[in-house]
Amino acid sequence: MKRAIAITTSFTRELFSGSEEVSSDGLFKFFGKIFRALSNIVYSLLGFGILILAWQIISKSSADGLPTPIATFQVLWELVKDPFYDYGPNDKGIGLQLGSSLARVFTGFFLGSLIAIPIGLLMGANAFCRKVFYPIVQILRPVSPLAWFPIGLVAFQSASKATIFIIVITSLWPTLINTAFGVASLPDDHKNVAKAFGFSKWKYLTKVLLPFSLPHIITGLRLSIGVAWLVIVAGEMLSGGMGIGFFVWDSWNALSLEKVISAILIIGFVGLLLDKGFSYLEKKVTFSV
Amino acid sequence: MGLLYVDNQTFGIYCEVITLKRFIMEKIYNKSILLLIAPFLLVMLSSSVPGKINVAEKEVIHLGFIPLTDCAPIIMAKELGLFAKYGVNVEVSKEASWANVRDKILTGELDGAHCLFSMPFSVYTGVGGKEGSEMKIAMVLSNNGQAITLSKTFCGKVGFRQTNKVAAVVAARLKAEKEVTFAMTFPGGTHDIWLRNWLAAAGVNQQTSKIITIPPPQMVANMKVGNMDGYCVGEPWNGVAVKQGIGFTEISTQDIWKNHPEKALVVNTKFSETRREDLKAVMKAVLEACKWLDNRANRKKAAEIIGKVPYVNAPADVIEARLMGDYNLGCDQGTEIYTDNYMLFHRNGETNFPRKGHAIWFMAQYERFDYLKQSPNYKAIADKLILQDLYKEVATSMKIKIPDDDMKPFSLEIDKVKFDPNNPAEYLKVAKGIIP
Amino acid sequence: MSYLKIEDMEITFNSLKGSFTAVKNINLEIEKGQIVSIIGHSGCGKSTILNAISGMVFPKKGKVTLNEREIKGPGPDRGIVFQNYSLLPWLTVYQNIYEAVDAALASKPKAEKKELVEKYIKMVNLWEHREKHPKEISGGMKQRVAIARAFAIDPEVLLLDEPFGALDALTKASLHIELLKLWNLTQRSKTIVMVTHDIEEAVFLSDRIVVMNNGPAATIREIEEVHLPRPRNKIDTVNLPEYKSIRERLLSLLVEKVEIDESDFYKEKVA
Repeated sequence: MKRAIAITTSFTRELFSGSEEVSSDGLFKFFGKIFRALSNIVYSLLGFGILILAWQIISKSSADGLPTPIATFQVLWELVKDPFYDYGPNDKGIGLQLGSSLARVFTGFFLGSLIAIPIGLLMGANAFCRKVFYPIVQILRPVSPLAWFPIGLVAFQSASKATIFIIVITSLWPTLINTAFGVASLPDDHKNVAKAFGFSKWKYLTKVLLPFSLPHIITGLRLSIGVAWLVIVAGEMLSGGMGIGFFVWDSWNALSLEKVISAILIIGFVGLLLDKGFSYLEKKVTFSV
Repeated sequence: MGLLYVDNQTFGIYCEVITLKRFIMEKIYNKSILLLIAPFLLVMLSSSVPGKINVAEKEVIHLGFIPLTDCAPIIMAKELGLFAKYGVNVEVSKEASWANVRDKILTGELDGAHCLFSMPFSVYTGVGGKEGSEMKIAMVLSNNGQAITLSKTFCGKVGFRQTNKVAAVVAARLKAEKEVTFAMTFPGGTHDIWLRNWLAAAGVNQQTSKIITIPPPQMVANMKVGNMDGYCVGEPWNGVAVKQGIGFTEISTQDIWKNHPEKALVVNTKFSETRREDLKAVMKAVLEACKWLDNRANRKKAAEIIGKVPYVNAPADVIEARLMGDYNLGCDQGTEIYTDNYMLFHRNGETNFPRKGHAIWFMAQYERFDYLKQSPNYKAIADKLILQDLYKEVATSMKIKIPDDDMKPFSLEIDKVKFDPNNPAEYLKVAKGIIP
Repeated sequence: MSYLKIEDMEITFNSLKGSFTAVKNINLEIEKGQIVSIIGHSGCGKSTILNAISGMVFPKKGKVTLNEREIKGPGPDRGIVFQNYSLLPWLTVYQNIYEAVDAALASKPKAEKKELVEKYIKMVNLWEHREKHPKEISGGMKQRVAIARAFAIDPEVLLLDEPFGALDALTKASLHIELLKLWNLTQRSKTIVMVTHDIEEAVFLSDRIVVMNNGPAATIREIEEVHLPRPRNKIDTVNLPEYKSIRERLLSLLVEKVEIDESDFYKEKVA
């Protein structure tokens, strides 16, 4: 009996200590993992619970302003339970709207990265390029995507292309800056190795510069996709047509705040997934010295 | 400590041109990255970027609309199968704003749209767009059906159509709040001009009032929180304000100018030139829809259809009431029943005929309210932008009467000042401007 | 006829605070196949001299010649082992050595390069670990990789910058033997110039020891010849009288205090 208690207490103590080396016993490790996963879920639920409670209070006290959580969730359920219906160009399921927005986001994000990464590499590796480009970066970076929209319209003569343009022009900055930072922070040690052994420019680029900078680049990409996702919603409100952003606008036009909030929740959730995806990538390419 | 001194110049400038293919190969440094990028690439490639045209799609005609009650002719033409009947493949798309519609018509993304009648003139003269840009009017879609809604704070202080009381009330408000705000939908657009005409007739100094361009839901939201004193917009927004109890209908636009031109079928210039026969077919379908809509018996059905989510996305009963001419005015003022000048779409051809005289009237308003410093070339612009001959062809083929009153003088109900399209300068001497 | 010659060299660095002379009046002649150590206090410019030989820095005055050719920059005829190993962390042991060989001996066919890499990994006994990344191997193993990498490019001169400074004494001792073994395997044809803090190490490995004055503007204080017989080992060689006398000489030159004297004893207070 005493022994049983001793084992149990030491087991629980080790669980709470949070260390990975709970014990060499596989069973303990397994329970440890489950416990940790469950406690994470509990924490998240607690956080959301507080949010929903605050929401309920505000909606009740604001009288005819904010819809209640329950009303909103009912609408949300209606939206997601049949996400892919298609009754013509102006009435599509939320899944299709999301897909359309995501396609635009990825196009813009991909194009933006194509521009940002080479320029970032240049700026990081070369002081002259850095000094020349950095002021431009500083001036253009804080410009709102909505301000770029008219320019995009004039340049591309098309609202849909202008939308992609504003995604490109606003989402490329985090990638550019992070890439430049990654490249510039390349330690002298690695540079010296390349120099001492006579690495060619190509070998330097591919075996030293890029692998070192890759974690920084991916961090930049993660930030950029977040910005791109933000911008698409704003852009679609301006340009009309299809997508989750336009869905928000249209729901506002119909004075349906439940749909607006539902859309906000969906947008937030998708943003979270995108972020997690890139975080996973980051972990995969980060090496420890 | 090993101190290796390395200077930048030794590494040289790595400004080499990296070909796209090699670059992509380097990006895919780690196979796991490729695995994660692949699904994204698939999503991208599978959803084609809008705007691509393949051979079959070249035939589709894109018409845009804004979710307002008077988009009915275009929507009903689609829903009743009239476009198909006249042999054209039309897709209607909901647009985000008037500026949006303007841009898409100019770039050609839309072949045509449900549009403010005065927008082409506003854009061409530089008031609401890049000066010199051409948008063409094929036909008028509707008369009447817009209104000026005032915030409920004015309830009891000024009643329906009591234009003479307005100035005092506005002045009082200005004194109390330090500013008075009115909203409309587009600079130089129809609502802008109705609002200004009303303010001028009431004797309000427009320089001391804020007149802003914002989207309709924002107008309602602002009025709800007391940030908006009045707005001029199309139905169903005036009905909605009354229903929500946040404002009341002060005057409807048919009381300002009975049977005024409101919305038009505005088309892209290239489309009107290269696909003339298709445009005629579209016009025929729309004309038939207009005729159908003027039959009161059909209006209930119309309200049901256009109220749906893909179109106006508003409650059918609110739409229907005002379509029938039953105006619940709000603010305990009861109901005003319009018998012959509620929202009308055809009037046996009187509505749809696009009049150059009306175009000149709008442009004169721009001069009147200091939008333009110099007189534009009224007749030339009207000739350029109104496809009157095209309309005459279509109307004749459908045996629809073509009115003969274009370019004849007329006057508005609200101020009774005579306007002669052949001599706008005379009118401008007399008409009250920004400062009464 | 000396093989590696440094003539009246002066090296100056330009910084924001002005120019700083690291070393001055350096004259040194090294024969082929010699192991030469440079020893001195921190900041005396030992590494700077090494960098001049490697071609990473350029002298303000004087020149360095190898085989009659003036050194103008880094090249495959000089291999470097850095103090911090400087292995690329994202490459495996095999790849680290291969990339160096591939870069330095670019013109050789691929098969030959692979052979070289294999040969040297096996020479340092790391063949089983060839697919591991630097973070998975110990400090001593990393340094062995660095040494193998420097040897693999088949240079004329090997430059070692405090190669064993970061290792513990036991690992250090075994690596001394490994280095000498590798040197032997090349028929002692490679010239090795090494920078170190460790007197024992310098005496054990070298044929000549260059003792530096303190910086800045450091100069050569003295050059000691070491006539200990080869092959050397940790048991017999360290007991030879010449070993001891050289060691003592270096201690006297470099270390301030070699014993505790009267004044350092704790004295009881007389009541």
